[in-house]
Amino acid sequence: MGTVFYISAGLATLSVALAMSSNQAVHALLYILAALLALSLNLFALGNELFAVLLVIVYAGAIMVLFIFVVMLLNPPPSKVAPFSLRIFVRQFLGPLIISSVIFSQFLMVLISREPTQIVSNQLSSQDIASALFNDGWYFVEMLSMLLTAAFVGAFHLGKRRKI
Amino acid sequence: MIAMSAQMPLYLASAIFVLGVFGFLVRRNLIFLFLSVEIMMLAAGYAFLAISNENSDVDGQLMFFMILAVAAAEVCVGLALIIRFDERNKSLNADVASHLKG
Amino acid sequence: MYLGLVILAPLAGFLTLLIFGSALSRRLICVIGVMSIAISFAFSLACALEYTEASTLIAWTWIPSDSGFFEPLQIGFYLDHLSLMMICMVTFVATWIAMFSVQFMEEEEGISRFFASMNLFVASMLILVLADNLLLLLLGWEGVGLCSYLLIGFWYQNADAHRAATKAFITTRIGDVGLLIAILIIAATLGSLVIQDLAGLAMSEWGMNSATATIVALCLLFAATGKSAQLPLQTWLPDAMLGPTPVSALIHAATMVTAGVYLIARLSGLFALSSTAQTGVLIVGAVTLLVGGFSALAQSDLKRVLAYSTMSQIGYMFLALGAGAYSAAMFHLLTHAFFKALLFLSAGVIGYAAHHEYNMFNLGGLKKTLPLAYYSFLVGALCLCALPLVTSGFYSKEFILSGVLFSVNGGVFAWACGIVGAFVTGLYTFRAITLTFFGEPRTAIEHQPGILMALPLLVLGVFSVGIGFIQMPESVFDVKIFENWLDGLFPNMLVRHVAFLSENLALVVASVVSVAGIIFGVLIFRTAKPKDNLLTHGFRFDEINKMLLITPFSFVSHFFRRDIFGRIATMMAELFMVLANFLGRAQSGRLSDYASFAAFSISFILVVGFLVLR
Repeated sequence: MGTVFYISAGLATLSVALAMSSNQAVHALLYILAALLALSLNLFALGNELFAVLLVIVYAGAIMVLFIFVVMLLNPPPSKVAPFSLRIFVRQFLGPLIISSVIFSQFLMVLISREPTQIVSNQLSSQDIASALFNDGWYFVEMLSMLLTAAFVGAFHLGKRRKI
Repeated sequence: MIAMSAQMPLYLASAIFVLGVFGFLVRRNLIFLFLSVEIMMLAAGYAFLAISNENSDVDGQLMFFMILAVAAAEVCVGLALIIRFDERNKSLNADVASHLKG
Repeated sequence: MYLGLVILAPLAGFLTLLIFGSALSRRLICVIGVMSIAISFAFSLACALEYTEASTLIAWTWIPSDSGFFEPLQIGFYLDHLSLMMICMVTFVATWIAMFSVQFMEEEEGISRFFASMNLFVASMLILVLADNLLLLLLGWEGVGLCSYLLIGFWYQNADAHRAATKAFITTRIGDVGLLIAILIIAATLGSLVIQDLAGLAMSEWGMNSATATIVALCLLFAATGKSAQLPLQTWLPDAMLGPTPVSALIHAATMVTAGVYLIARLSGLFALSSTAQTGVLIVGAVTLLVGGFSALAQSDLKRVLAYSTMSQIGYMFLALGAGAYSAAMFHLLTHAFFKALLFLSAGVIGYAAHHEYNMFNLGGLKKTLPLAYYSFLVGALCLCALPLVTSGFYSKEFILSGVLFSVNGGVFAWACGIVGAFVTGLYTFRAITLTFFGEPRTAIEHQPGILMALPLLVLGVFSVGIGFIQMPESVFDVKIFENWLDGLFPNMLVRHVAFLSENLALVVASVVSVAGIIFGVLIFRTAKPKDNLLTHGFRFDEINKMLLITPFSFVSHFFRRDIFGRIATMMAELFMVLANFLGRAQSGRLSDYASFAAFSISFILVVGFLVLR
């Protein structure tokens, strides 16, 4: 299981680096998505399966998807369509191909292997986290919900079509 | 393999954080700036998780919840603002927004 | 007793014209104006005829003094050979110039103002010449400066004339500071301002070549350069030609500009105490005579040629004074007064006839159309160029050059400057004559001069030729009337022998050079063109003065124009505003810049903290 940790760590770093150096917004977002998947693997290897899943569902599944939708909304129309070039296609295709294949291989490894999945013996379980959140830290939840409501209202207001 | 120590996750978190900072300083496109901020927050949250796993302290997990929720709220409002900005200035270049110059 | 009347006549004329001038008819004004000066001349002649020995006429006590050190100051007029010569010359020339200006100014308004100023001028000049103490001399000195301002700026509606008058007044005023300092030092150290006592007192109090003597003498030299238009205060004279031409003739040829020479001659006893100052006088004279001469070569305006010529000739006088040849300087002063007044009045005839056109390149062919002007100008020019043996200029220039050559304080180098100056004099004078009088006429003649103009020209012409014969060198005729007249007044000049140059050889060289200048002047400048170069602008001294003095001074006065303490207080606020503007440039309004600043500062703090807390 130690190898999963290291490989996913390297993957996450590589993905973020590729994201930062890409020209197109959508490419960057997808690289970040790959980074999130890798990080989720990493968290799983550390024994924190709750947040591994939460990362994928909330962060990658909601926030990044929102990002991608907005970028698709804002993308200016292409001025001209460049003729298809195999070299560029391969270059653009290669990075994601490698990353996704490695992630997939790691997933497979975790699924197939019979060893204990955690490398760190974790005292915390999901029940502990949940009970801490809703018993002692209930005000936390209330605060966050208020925050989210405010964000919701703000975004609604800002996004309304209005006469300029 | 390098022996797994308590600082390994922190190295990862700092690497991703630095990449985020670098991206924030260098890019001009608003989307990329926003993205870099998200990466920085992700790295910070990951660091919280790693440390709380190490010390079996539940407070770090709660912090990550907070960061998650705040990131969500922020992305909401921020993207709405970016849409507005783009409508107004016809461009996503952060240098365009320099009315407070001088 | 006639001495008082000599001064009172022009003063009375001034007061009459000042008070009643507007009520009198033009003819009466002219009569009063001319007659008061003529009466003054008559009384000067009477003084000359009655003269037995040097005497002082005390009018009253001006500043009484009880202290034992200071002598009470009296209004006194001292008549000796030198001042007698001066008052006769001044009143004589002034009379004829006044007569000339009656016709010259016949169409001008403000004639009473003109004659009033002229009378005041003559009175001040007489006071200056006759003063027995330095403070009374200062009174006359300032008076002539004032009248110079009034008369140069006579046509006050002309902005250029007004500027020229102000420039003349201020420049001479700067020189007057030197005179004032000298007077104060003399009064403080010697206790008396009576000129005749000064030489003896100074000898005992200061001693030969002492610092005080040198300082006082240099201050007096500075004052003299201001009034006599020598370096460094010479820039006002060419511009002063914007006044009426009789004014130029009287003030800037014959009388006021010679006041500086007179001052140094009178105080020769003080100058004898400081060899540094004498060398200074010599250098000032030599440089100015060359500057004036060369500048005159490039002028377009006839009167400016004459102005630079005056500057150059007074340089000759200073040269003689510096070398110790005081009699030579005074003789040249006398002859120069006559022929320069003649030259200026001839130019006045041209101005009167051609409607104030003095640009030589617009005149021409006046030999045929204005013969009076031509012949009088020619006579004056030949005297100026020192045509050998017949003109007074020759004898006076000879006297100066031989004095300078054989004096211990002078020498061959100063003599060589004088020789070069003589050549240049011939060049520029006959350039002016060729351009103005020969060739094709380019301007129409409006009126011909009348008797009131012709008579002064005639008289001055006769005198400028004839006055020379009272002092001739030994090899010609050995007449020494002038020198004997002024004998004993000045310190004796030390002479020495010069190798390779005997007196006769020097005489011949000077004569040849003068004639060569005349000939070359006619030949070279037949086809002259208007010039605009360094020489035309008088070696750019105006620009030098502006750069060195005027610009810093006006900068300082502009800086202090408002309440200085208020400015210091607001300067604090201004400083902060400047700082704010400077630092405000860091706010570019760009997000990336701010982010960079923040990232840099944070990393800096982290690194420093890490190193410190290690």
